[in-house]
Amino acid sequence: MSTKTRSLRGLLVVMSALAVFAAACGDDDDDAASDGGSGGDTPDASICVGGEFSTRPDGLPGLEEAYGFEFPASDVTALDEDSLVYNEVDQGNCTFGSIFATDGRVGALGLTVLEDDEAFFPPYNGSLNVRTEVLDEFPGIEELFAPVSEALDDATMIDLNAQVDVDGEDPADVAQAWLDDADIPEDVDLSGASLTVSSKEFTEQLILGHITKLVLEGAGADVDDQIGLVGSTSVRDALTSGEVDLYWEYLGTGWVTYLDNTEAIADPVEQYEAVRDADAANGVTWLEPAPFNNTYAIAVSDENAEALGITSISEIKDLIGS
Amino acid sequence: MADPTTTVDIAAPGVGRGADELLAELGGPSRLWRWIVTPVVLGGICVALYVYVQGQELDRIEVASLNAPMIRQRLIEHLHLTLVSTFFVILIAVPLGIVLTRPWARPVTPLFLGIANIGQAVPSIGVLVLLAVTVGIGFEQAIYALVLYATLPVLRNTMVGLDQVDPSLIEAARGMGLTSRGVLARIELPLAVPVMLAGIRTALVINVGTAALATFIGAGGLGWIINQGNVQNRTPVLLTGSILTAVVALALDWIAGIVEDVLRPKGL
Repeated sequence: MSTKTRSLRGLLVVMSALAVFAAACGDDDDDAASDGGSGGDTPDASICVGGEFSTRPDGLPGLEEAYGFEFPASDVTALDEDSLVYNEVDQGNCTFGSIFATDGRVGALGLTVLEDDEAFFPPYNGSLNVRTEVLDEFPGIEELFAPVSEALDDATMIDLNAQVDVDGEDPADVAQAWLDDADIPEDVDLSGASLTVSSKEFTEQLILGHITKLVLEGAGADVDDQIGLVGSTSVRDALTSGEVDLYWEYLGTGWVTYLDNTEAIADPVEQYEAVRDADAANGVTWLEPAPFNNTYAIAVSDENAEALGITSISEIKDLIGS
Repeated sequence: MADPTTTVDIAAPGVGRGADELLAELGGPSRLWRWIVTPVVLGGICVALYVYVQGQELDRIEVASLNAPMIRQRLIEHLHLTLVSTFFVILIAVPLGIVLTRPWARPVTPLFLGIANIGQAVPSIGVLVLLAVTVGIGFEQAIYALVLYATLPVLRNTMVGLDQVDPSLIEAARGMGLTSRGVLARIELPLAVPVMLAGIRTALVINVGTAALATFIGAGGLGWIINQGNVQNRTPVLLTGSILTAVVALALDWIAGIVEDVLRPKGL
């Protein structure tokens, strides 16, 4: 056989090797994939988690530890785009999904939120974080946002979020429309103030960011818009380093993820006081929290909830065992 | 050893001939040197990374990404994505390239080349998002995107490799009674293999990089580690994901280089 045809055979050998390797690895993946989507009589225990939920201590790792179960790695699909989780759960590709309680799509898509019966998730009421330095210079900020904060309850937040995620409106427009009907104190004057407002990247944060910006501008401040930074930690670091002056954070996120505590405090008022007092040392002031609680939650599609007869997170343990 | 039945042992102009001679002329490293340096350097980088990560105080968020089972899982997912997609790229692009260089296919060549060009010109993240919206998410969908993206180099190289075969060789072979299929199998393809392999090697490395984006449609891979490091703002995680991806790309390129060297027809 000439060397010329040897090279051709060599190419075929390479191809076969690739095919064999692919098939060998494929066995592990395909099993998990078909389990998730096959449905059958009883849905398997698979979970889709959003970007941060998969590694945050107040996310999957902590949840599994608190409840005493563990999803096999092949049954966990990490979707770096949080919003994809809702669709995947709705379509049944994953039985469970990590969602946000005030998201507009929970009601719209027909998802059942499982009860957190071990009270693992801390309260996640929204609170405007301001750099202490900035607040000392412009104390009027606290008075300015008190009524805004008070007016933001679960129902309002879900409605605002739904306008963006379900109706397709722009977060800035939704913020403006809501503020037109809201009661903002007129007597706070921030002219001459140069402030940087930021937020995380998901819908609720964008809306809150724009509300903050519009309220500050209404009081005469000059606002630099850094709304929509990707990743909780990125925004938090921007605040503590002084690059950003205000953004809305959640009590639980601060307590568990930034202040590194392992036990949540169930009562929102106590949780607020604990976070506020602890974070003062970092030069961050947490303003009075709003009533809305955008807690992490585990959701399941209405059909699967019925099929599995499941209403609380602790029942997941039995499903995984089977 | 010369095969007496196939006497078309005429040196093809340029291609494959004495690649080692050429390399030596250019003052480049010998084959052995090439084969050894890369793995040693890559091994050194991996060791350095390991030492660095071990020396860090990892918080709970970092540990959730940087633990042996997780890294192993993501590495395997990444290799799986890369190798399966490259397999399909070869499966699709090589036959397509052969067909498109046949005289009767000339009219449609621009169309297919155009599609392959678009596949690579559109930013990979755009292709991934489009797929997520239309056909959904997951491993399969990531493969579609990777195949689309890496088809161009293999297709183009197959076509170029076949086109640059000296027509006089083909004439001579025809003159000796080989059918067109015979010419294809025994003259054109073997002479085109070096160029084709170069294209496949390129596609392999491209796929390693693009597979890092597969995490955004739920297909995991080393990109998941990179994204966690970015979103959670944790440098050790980000570094580990990025360095491992680069090491995988270089390692696969090195292996492909060896395969190329071994399969290059000698004395052509």
